[in-house]
Amino acid sequence: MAGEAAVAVGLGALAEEEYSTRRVNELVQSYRKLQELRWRILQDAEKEADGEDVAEFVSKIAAVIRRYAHQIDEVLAEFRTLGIDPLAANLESVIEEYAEVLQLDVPVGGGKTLGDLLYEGQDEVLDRLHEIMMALFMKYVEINKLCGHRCPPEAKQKLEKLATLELATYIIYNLFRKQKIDKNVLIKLLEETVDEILST
Amino acid sequence: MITFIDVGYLINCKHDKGQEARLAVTSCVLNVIKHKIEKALHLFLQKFKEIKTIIRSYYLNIPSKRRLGSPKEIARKIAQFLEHKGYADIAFLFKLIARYDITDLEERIEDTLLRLRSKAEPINFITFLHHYFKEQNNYKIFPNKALDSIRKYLQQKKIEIIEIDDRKLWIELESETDREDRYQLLCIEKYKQNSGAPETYLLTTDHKLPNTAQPFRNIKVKVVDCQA
Repeated sequence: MAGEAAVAVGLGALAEEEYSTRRVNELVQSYRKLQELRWRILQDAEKEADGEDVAEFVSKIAAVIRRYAHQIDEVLAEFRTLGIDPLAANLESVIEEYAEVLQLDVPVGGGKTLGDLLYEGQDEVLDRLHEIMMALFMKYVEINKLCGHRCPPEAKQKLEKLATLELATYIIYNLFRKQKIDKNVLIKLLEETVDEILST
Repeated sequence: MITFIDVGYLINCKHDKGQEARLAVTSCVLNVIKHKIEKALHLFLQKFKEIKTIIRSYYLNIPSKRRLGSPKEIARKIAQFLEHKGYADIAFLFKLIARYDITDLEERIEDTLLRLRSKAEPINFITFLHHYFKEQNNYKIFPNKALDSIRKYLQQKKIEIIEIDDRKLWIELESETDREDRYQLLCIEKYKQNSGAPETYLLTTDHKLPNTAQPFRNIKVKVVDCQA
C-alpha cells in the first residue's frame, strides 16, 4: 500500500536525518532497512522534485515512494509477522524522537544548543523548521491517541499526508543547502508546509 | 447591596470571599470578554512574528534552566511584558490562559508540551499556542470554551451572573475608545432600572472609569489596584 509506504519512510525523516535521533527498541533492524530505503528515495526525489509550491513537491515525492512501495512492504511484513502494526509502532517511536529534539538541548555545534540558536533568532530557516517540528509533533500526538495498538483508516490517511509533508520538508531543505533553491523560495515553501500540516 | 465588577477587576484581581456581601457581573461583561478574546486571537496570529521576537529578546540572556516554567507561569510573564511593550490587546489572551483552566487547551498542553518535560520552554509554548489557535476549529470555539471556564470560576467564587437584555445597547454606542466601558455601565444602569435598586457599586482596575461613569450618578465606581 502506497499510503503505508509513505508513512514508513516519511515519519521521523526530519528529526532523524537532521538531528540524528535514533530508534532504540527491538525493531531497530527493520527501522534501519526502512531508513536505507528512505535514503534512496531522498536521492531520487532530490533529482526529480522541483516546483513552485508544496503540493507539487508532495505529488512528485509520492510518485517516487510508489516506485519503492514493494520493497517497503517487504520490510513492513517483518513487523506484521511479529504481530505489530507498523504504523502504530512507527508513530509511537517518532513521537519520542520529536520529544527529544523539542527539548531544545540538542547540540548544534560551536558549543550551542538548538534552544540557544532559536532564542538568538538569527536563523529564519531554523525558526521555520522549529515551527514545522512543533506542528508535526502536535499532530502525531493527536493521531496517536486515535491509534492505540492499531490505527483506524482516518488516522492512516492523515499520517500518510503528514509523513509525505515531513519528507518534503527535508528534501526542500536539502535542495536549499545544495543551492538549488534560494532562501526566499525555501521560506515560502516552509510556511506553506506549516499551514498544510495544521490543516490536516 | 449588590457590587458589580468589571472586566479588568474580574481578570486581574483575586476574588476572596468575605470582602463584599454580594458580588456580581452582568452578562455584558462576559460579552465584552468574548469580544476581547476574538480580537486578541486575531492579533496574536497576525503579529505572531513580532510577538515571538519580543519574547525571544526577553528570554535571550536568561540561562536555559531558568527559562523553563509551568505554562501558566510563562503565560503570566508573557502577559506582563506584552502589556509593557504596548500589546495590551494580545496580553489579555495570555492573562486569560494564565488565570483559567480552559477545557481542551489544558489537555493539549498536558499531552504535548508537558510530554517534552515537566516544565515548558517559552519559545515552544508560544509556537504551540500559535499552532493551536491556527487550527481552524480551535480558533472558532476557543472564545466559548474560555467563557465556559470563566462561568465555572464565577460559580465557584459565588459571584452572580446577572443576565441583561442588552439588545441595542452595544449597537447604539458610538465606537469610541471607551465603548466597552460605557456598555458595561449602561448594562448596570439597565439592571438598576429593572430592579429598582437606588444605587450600586462598581469595582474596577481602570483609573479612567470614574470619569466615564460621571453621567451615571447612582453607580459608585471604586478603583482597585491589584494583580492576581
